[in-house]
Amino acid sequence: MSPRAGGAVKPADLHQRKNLSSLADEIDRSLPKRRDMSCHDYLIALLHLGSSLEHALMVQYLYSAYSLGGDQVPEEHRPMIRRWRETILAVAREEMGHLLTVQNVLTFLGAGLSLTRENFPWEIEWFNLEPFSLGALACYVYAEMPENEDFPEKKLIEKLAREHLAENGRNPAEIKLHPVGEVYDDIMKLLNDPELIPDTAFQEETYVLQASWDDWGRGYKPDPRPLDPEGNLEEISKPAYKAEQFRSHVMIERVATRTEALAALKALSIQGEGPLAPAKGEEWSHFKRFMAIFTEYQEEMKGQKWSPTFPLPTNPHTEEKSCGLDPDSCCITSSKSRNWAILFNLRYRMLLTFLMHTFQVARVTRPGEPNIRGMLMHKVFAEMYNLKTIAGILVQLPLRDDGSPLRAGPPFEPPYNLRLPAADVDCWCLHLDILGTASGICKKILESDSRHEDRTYIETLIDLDAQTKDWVNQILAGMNSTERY
Amino acid sequence: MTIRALRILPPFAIGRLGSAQEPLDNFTIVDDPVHPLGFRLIRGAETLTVNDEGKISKQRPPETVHFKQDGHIRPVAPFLEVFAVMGKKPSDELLVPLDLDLLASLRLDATKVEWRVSVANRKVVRRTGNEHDLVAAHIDWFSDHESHKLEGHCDNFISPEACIDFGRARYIDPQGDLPGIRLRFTPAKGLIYGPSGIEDSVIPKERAIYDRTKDWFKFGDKNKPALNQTVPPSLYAIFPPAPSWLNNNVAISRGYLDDACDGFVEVRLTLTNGKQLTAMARICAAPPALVPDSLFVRSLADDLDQVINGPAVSRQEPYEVTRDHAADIVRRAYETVRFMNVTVMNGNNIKGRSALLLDSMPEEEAADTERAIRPVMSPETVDTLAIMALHEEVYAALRGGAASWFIDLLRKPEEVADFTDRGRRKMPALMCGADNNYLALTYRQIDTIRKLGEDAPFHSKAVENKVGPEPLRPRNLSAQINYAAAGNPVSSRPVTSVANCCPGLEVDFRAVWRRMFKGIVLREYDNLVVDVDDPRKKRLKGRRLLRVRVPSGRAFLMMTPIRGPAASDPDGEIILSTQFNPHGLAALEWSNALAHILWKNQGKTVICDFTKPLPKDEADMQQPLIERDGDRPQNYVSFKFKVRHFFEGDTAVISTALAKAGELTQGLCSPWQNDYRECSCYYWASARPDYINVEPAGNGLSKGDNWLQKERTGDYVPDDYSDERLILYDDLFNEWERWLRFQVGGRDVPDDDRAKENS
Repeated sequence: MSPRAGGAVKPADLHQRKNLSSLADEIDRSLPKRRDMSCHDYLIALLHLGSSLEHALMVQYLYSAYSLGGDQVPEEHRPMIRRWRETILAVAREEMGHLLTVQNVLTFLGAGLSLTRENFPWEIEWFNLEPFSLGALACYVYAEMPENEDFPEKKLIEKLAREHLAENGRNPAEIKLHPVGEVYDDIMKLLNDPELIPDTAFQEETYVLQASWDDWGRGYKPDPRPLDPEGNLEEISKPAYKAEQFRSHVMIERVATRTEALAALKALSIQGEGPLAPAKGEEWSHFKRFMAIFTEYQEEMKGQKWSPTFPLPTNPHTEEKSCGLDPDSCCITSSKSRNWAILFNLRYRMLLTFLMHTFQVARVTRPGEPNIRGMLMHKVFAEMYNLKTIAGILVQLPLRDDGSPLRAGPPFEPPYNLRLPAADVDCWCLHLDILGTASGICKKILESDSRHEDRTYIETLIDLDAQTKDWVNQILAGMNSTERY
Repeated sequence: MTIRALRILPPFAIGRLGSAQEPLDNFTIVDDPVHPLGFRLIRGAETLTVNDEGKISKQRPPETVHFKQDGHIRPVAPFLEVFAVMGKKPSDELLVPLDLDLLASLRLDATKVEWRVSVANRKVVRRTGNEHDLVAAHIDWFSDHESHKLEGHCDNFISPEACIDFGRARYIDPQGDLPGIRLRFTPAKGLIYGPSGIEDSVIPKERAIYDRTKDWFKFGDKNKPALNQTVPPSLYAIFPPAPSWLNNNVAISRGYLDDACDGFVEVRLTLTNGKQLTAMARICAAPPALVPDSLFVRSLADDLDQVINGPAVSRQEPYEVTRDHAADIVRRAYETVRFMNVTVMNGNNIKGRSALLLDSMPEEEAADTERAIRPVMSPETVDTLAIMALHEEVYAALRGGAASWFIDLLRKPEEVADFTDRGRRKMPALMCGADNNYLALTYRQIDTIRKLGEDAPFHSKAVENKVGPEPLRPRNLSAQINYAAAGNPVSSRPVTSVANCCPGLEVDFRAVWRRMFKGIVLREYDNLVVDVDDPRKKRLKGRRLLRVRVPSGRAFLMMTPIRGPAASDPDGEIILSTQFNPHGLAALEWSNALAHILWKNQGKTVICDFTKPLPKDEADMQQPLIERDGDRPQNYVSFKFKVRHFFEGDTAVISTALAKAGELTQGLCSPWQNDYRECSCYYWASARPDYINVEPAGNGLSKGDNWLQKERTGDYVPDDYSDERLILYDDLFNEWERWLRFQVGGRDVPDDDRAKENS
């Protein structure tokens, strides 16, 4: 029974659906639908999975990009390495846009945010933090590849991806590879069905609460194109078009209708896994951009004896339980690096916490004028810059103090907790708490023997954090701390 | 040992006006080691004092630098030192201070050194076009140590004796532990002069010296139309209501002049064989540096750096130098932002009042393009403290070795008239450039950011190369430009002079570009040929310079399209044309437009493409360059011109051929106090601030005062030019030293007064 006919749709009706089992079969590739889930639940679960994927991909790509560089790269090859780095960073930025769009769709469906990047039904090795390599690149290509795309290197890509993932001793033939697009296909199939997801599931009024490109896009989109006298977009030159493909096009779509939600998810999907030969004027997908790097890598790196990356481990971490027990572990134990790695994780946590807070305060801030939400948004970007800087430090600091050539690398360890307190005052207290911890780590770094540039950075970071603390304290002073809502 | 040549350093010294008896102590600004992101600290430095006989002595650095004395602002009176160029061959040459010992070694003494000073104020000439309005002062060669008055006389004053006091010049008596040869320029008091025989509450009788029957008084009314306007127009004190845009752009001059000026200091040394060596430097008298601990994002030093070293940074520049330069640019960016009320400057409505009421770049843009006003950035995100903190984070990142990632977010010089959202949001945001469009950094500054972004990922942090100050040598023009003469505070140097001259504060630097092509004179703010020296090319007068082609084959347009959003398509853009600008073109500001031409082409011949003859109403408009295409002919004619040298010979003095005495300041406001009232902070926020005493409020947003509000309440008063809570024009004309309050640490300096401290 359609809600449009005038009657309310009872929850039980949602289960009286045509062909539920066949649909479940169709979309069961990504994530099995549990019997205690309604279709709405299942859609949310799939969106959570999508969000986790975007988050994991973003972090993976960032690690890969940050790994590129080092003074061992010959001068004449640096433009190429730089181009690869910029391309992967551009893709990472776009994944951030995808992540925010998925949060918008979740908000539209009345669900909470999801910023985790774990709980995958697939191989966890799929999302290793590892330095850039041909094998890793093959995995990226595979992850973003359109399902039915056929191209000469396809078999090679799959072979390299399996071999790469099997380097931990697994049988390559047993590894299941899942293009990310599968998940979005499943989401869109479900979302597209008004019998499974009726209009009453949508909350149009959340539109103003959603993240917008205007706030978050930072100018990362194609240049405006001139209009011809008929008002149609003019074509741009081929060189300009090609240059544009390597720049970020961050998509952050707000949604107020089913159609918009589907269009937004479709756009993300195409941006990720669009065809190798896009139609004239269409943007290059992540898949195509990674393929361009893959092709260039094969041509230019053949026979080269130098590495395009810093010598980084796979999945570096600061997890104390396993540190020191296994000499080959990727635990960051070096006295020079460990505090930096912990600081990095703290800044990552701060970024995610500020991000969640922006969505929370959106409900209580007045749009159209400067407000706390805008200020929090700037804090998110500020932490991105900190992550970038500290990553640049960690790729040059040792992993261990045993003389190993391996460098530490940015660990990107997820925080123990990604839930915000319900009361706003407690959210601000949480920020203060994390800032306090970060200050302590900064002071430890300052007390240790750091390089000149690193010390300069820490001194400025301490100053910045002090300003942020003052700001938060001002806000807390302005609140009635007994109020909880 | 022989002296090949002389130099005066610094080659460009800025004096600052003020009516206190005692010049300002020497000071410098340094980073705060405890708060590296905080305001720079003002540190007193060794100060030189000169007694009534012209004898000089050293004073210990003051513990506290007092900018005022008995309620009067202390002027900055720079010293100009003489150096000798010595060495066996050019590559070995050094700059050696000319002092008593060196003179003695040449069998000379201080009496063989002579000085000559010429300054002028051409502000009125610039408007009226009448050379009889020139106010000029000249002191012929002297070698005594008296304080010589610079008396500015003018044909259109009421008598030959009437004059504007432009300050003093004194040859300092070298002796003791200060044997160097130097001159001191002490600027005037910042007084306003005006027309005779008129009841005027601002001008006392002794300063009512301009003949009211001449052109300047009531210039702009129907009998004396303002034909040769500056940009912005009507930069002079007018009969109320002011500003003119509140009164249908009616701007009738009150006939005021000021005692700002610019010109030359020359030195001459006669050797025993009778040969004479000379050198010169430029000086100017400018308003005080009211925010002495902050520097502007693009300064005169940046523009001169581009002339000297080119628009591109050398690949050989050490990483540490590039990093520090890039970080310095970002630092100056946030030092600028922190004085802007970003919410207002963004074009937000304020407390329900339309943004059209307040002066900002989006408002200017709306007026110029006849389009509706739009905020530049999302209105919710534009709080000053938040934006400043973000800039600080960028600075921290660059200091920490991060590769600069924002090169695409910097506005290129040819994008200054891109009024799409994309274009307007580029950095520096919300500020005005010399072309009256959005500000761009110099090409060289942009290239610094680019180079850092490219180099940083490959730089090993294991090594930190120490880079020392640049050596002072005859060939090192940058070192000479930035030279800190003994006793000279940092506010006397080009790094404290703003470069987005529209029109500027210390100088209107647009003026130097007008004669870059030998034989024609361009208008300082656009590509119109206003005069021609070569009679054979007289017909070029009134035409527009469209393009310059250099010997390497590169070509440079002098205009850029004005782009705006397509109302019907957010992904599209259109050319914003108006009735008066049907082709939608904007002239580029000269400093960047000519940067590539100057680099490697000074003294060479280039091809200049000009418009063909057009009817007057079309000639007044910007024209596109159209190439021949089939039957359609090209719309330009080409002529060859030689590119002048920017500097005089092998010195670091801006060529006399480019600007005469008075021309560097002629485009500035008359009187300059008018500009402090009229120009909003989106021009030079860290020199003419807006938002002060800023701190976080309980709601997390910033709060503070408007620099021009009479009473500091912590509740910012938006400037609609008529609110009586704000300082108005006559308040400044009458008591500018009282109302323009120094800012240190982003806050009002309590009426800090050396005399009070000593009493």
